Amino acid sequence: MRKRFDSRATVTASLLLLMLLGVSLVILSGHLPKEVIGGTGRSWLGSTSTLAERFALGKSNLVRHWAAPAVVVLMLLSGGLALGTILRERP
Amino acid sequence: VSRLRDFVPRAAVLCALVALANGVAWSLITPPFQAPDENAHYAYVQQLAERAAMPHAIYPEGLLSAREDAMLAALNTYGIIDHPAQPSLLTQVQQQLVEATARRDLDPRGDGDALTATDNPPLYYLLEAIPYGLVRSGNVLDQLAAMRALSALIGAGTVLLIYLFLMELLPGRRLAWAAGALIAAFQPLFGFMSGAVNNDDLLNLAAAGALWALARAFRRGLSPAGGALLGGFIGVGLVTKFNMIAFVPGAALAVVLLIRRAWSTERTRALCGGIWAVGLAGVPFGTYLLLNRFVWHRNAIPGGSIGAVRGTGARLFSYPQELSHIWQLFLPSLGMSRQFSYYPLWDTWFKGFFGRFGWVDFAFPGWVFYFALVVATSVCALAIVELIRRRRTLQRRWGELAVYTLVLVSLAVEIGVESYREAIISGGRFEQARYLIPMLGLYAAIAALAVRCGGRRWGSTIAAALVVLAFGHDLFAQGLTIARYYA
Repeated sequence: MRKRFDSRATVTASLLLLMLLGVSLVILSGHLPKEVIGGTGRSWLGSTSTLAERFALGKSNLVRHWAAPAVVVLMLLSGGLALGTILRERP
Repeated sequence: VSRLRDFVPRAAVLCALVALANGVAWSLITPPFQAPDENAHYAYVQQLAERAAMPHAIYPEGLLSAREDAMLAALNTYGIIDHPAQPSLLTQVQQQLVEATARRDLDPRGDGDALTATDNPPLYYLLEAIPYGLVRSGNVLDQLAAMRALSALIGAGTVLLIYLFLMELLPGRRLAWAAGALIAAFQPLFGFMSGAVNNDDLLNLAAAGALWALARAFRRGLSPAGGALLGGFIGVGLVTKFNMIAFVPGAALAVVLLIRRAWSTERTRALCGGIWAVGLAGVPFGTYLLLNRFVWHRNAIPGGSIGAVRGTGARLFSYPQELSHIWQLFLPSLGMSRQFSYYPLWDTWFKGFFGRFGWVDFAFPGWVFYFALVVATSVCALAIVELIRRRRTLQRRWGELAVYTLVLVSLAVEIGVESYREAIISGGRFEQARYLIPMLGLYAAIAALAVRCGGRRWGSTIAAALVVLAFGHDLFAQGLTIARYYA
């Protein structure tokens, strides 16, 4: 039976995703200086609710109450679809 | 349905869905009117929908509708643009002002001026008038959200066409097609523009379609259907944005080469294809030019004129200087008098393409661009190795390669001409990296070649690595945008 995913590609993708997650967590925790990451340099994890609140301001009534969770869902969906597609294709 | 499935593979649809999700996410992240010229593009659609008339230039500058102007003020739009330290709205009081503005019964009709969008052809705006009209509330923000959703859908169509282009350009390797299309889908500048109201979105779709039609015609020969496809996409592009003119010399060269190739065997078929291509590109554009001049009384050529322009600043127009300006806009100076105080290839094109957003008023920190340079150089090196390996095939396809090169050079010249004229007329800077997105198909092709270079042993690994890197690049660009406007 043919393997569903190429194992080497799966390992590479997983390692890179873990690195991506690690870098994201370091940035979100605010442990990097402002000069390195840009923005305000403050911890995002500590101000999630403030960010979500501000994210809903000045937007259409059609989207403002669900915009922040929708962005998370859409990006998880697009990342998952992309990985599934690329790992399933034969070289 | 099964015929459609044969024609458009499942992976192509999945890549398009990825682009759609990404475009919609960008449309939710970017605050209203914080994408380049979005106020002007919205005004164009509003003028079409509310007055059933084309916008026209009013000097020195006409008024937008009271409804749009009041919303722009409530959102502090002009106070945020070019002020990177100024975030979007922060308080409930500001939100209440936005809601109060939305409830006011203000006139949706302005003087008829759509600022920088006024001279544009109307096709994209006619399409955007549909979501504009479907929003019954008349609320500017609701209309803009619906219009942005259509832009994201057009972005998905662009990625679908890029997949089809790669299928024809690099036959035989499905993995490379999917990798190239996904890397295009996650290109952050493309995602950002796909989530905004801007006629660049339809131009990018037309350009991807024209690249597909060119690759298809070189692979299968010029047929009436193939010629219609090529002419159709160029026609759509020409009545969307004048920049599509960059495809005309390349497409003309392609038609000549393809007719020459088919002369002894399938002359009639190829000639019919050529006629379709010329007809479908020329008739809509010719009709638009005539209507523009004689019915709508606007400039026949967007921007006003061809030839020398009169300067108002310190610089005077000269053709040798224009040539030098175009060269230096993309390439290092070769002993010419310096046209720029910075290096446009690095500052405008590379940095702009990989990480500058909003009204070009914020970017990644500097080290990110050096990291991007290492990755981009590695990918290009792999693509070059693959091209050297396939040099015999490349020699057989020199005509096709010449066509893509001519399209790229024509686009560079077209941007360079506009850049020089803007510099002479106002002393301002015209060029932005988003003007290169019509070449997104070629960007995807470089990535696809790098994947092919890995062969059956390493191809999957390179593809997975590049797609994850592209996804990460896009996520960090979104994070940067969130930090800019909401932190």
